Amino acid sequence: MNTHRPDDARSNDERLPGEDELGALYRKLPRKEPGPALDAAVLRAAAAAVRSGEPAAATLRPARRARWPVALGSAAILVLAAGLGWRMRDMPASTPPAQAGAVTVQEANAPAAAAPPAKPEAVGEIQADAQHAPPPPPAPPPAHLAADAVMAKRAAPAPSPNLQEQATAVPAAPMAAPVAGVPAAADRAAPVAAEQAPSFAAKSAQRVIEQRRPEPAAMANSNAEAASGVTAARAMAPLAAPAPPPIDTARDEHDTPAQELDKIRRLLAADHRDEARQRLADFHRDRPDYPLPDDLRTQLLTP
Amino acid sequence: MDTAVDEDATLMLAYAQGDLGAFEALYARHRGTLYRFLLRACRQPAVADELFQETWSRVIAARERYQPQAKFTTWLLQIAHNLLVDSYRRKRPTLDGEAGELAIAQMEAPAQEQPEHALSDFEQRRRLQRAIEQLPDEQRTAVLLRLEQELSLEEIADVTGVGRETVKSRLRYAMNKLREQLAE
Repeated sequence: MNTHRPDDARSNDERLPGEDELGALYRKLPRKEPGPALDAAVLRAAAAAVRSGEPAAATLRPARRARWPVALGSAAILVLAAGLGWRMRDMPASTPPAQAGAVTVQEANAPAAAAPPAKPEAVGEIQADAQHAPPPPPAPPPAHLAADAVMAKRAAPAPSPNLQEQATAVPAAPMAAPVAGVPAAADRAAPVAAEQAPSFAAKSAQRVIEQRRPEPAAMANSNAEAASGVTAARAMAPLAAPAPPPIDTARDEHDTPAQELDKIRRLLAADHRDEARQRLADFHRDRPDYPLPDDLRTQLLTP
Repeated sequence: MDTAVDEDATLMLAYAQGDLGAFEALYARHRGTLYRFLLRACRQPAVADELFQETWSRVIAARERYQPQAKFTTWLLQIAHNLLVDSYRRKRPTLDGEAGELAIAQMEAPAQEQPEHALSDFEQRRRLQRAIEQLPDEQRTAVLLRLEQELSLEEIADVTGVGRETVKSRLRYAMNKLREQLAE
C-alpha cells in the first residue's frame, strides 16, 4: 500500500517567505464546520449505499431487468410480424379466386350483356394450351387459370413436375384451386375437359382433391366473401369426380343463359368454332328473346 | 511499498467492504478541513455546502473503484478541487473585480480611518480572510491547500493538476499579496 505521511512531505518541503506567520494567523481563523444537516445527509447517503449493496451491481441488475422486457417484447413482435407475414403471404393467393367466384355468381344472375367476356389472360392461356396440345388428347391441355398454378405452387412449395402437370392438366379438379374459385374454374374448364378426357380428368381431379382438401378448406374459412361459392364448390366437387357427365357434357340443361354463353365463348377460344356456332345457333333458337352479346351475335351472323 | 499505513486508505477500503463505521470515522477526520477549504475557496456557504455534499457523494459512489495508490486526502481534495473548478467556471461575478474590491474597501473604511490604530487580532484575521477571498482562484486554491490542508508542494501539484514550480509560483504571489494586505 502506497501511503504518504504528511509530516514527511512537509518536513522535506520548501518553506516560502512569511509562510509561518501567515500559517499562524490562518489557524486563528474561525474553524467553521459543516452543519448537522449536512453531516446527516452525507452519513445517510453512505449508509444507503452500504444497504443497497454494491453500486455497480445495483446499477447493473436493474439494467439487466430492464433489458429482459425489451428482449421479450422484441421477440414477441418478431413472432407477431412473422405470423402476419405468413398470413399476408397467403392472402393474395386466396383473393383472386374469390373474385373469380364473385364474377361467376354475377354471371349466373345477370343478363349476358352485363356479363364480362372471359378473362383475356385466362382465355389466352387456354388457347395456348389448346394449340400446343395434340388433337386427340390422352391428357388434354386444360383451361387452367393462373390462380390454379399459383395455388399449386403454394400448396406444395417444392412440387414435383407430375403434380404440377396434374394441377394444370386437370380442369375438372376445381378443389385444387382455392375453394372460392372453384365455380368459375369448373364452369370454364368443364366443357373442354369433358370433351377431351373425361375419365382421366375425373380421376386426376379426385386425386388432387384428396391431396389438397385440408388447405382449401382452411382458406375458405378465412374468406367470408366467398362463402357462398365455397358452399357450392364443396357440394359440387365430390359429385364432379365420380359423376362427370353433368360437367363433361357440353350442354347442360340447367345452365343459365350466361353460363351457356360462357361455354360457347370457351369453345370459340379453344378454336372449336363449328361446335360453338352450332351451340350458339341452338341457344338463339331456344331463346330467341335473349339478347346476345355483340361478339357472339357476330359469330352467329358470320357465314 | 511504504510500510507506513495510511489509516484513511484503510478506512476507505473497510467502507468499500460494507463497514459503515469506517466511513463515519473517515468522515469525522476530514469533514472540517474539507468544508473550510471549500467554504474559503468558493466564499459562498450555500455553494460550499453543495460542493461538500457532492464531494462525499462521489467518494461514496467510487468506493468500489478506490485504489490506495495515493494518499486518501489527495484523492479527496482532487474530487473537491474538480468540483470547485466547475464552480469557478459558472460562478457569478458578484464580488470579483473592481466592484468586489470597492465593496471590501468600503467595509474596511472604518478601520482605515484610523491609520495609527494597531490592528487587533480580530481585525488581522478579518483582513486575512478578505485578502484570501480577493486572490485569484488558482492562487486562493493553492494557499488554502497549503494553509488549511497543510499539503506539500507536490501534493498541491497532484491535487490541482499542475507542476510543482507552478504551485510554488502561485503560492509566492499569493502570500506576497496576503502580507501586503495585512501590512496596510
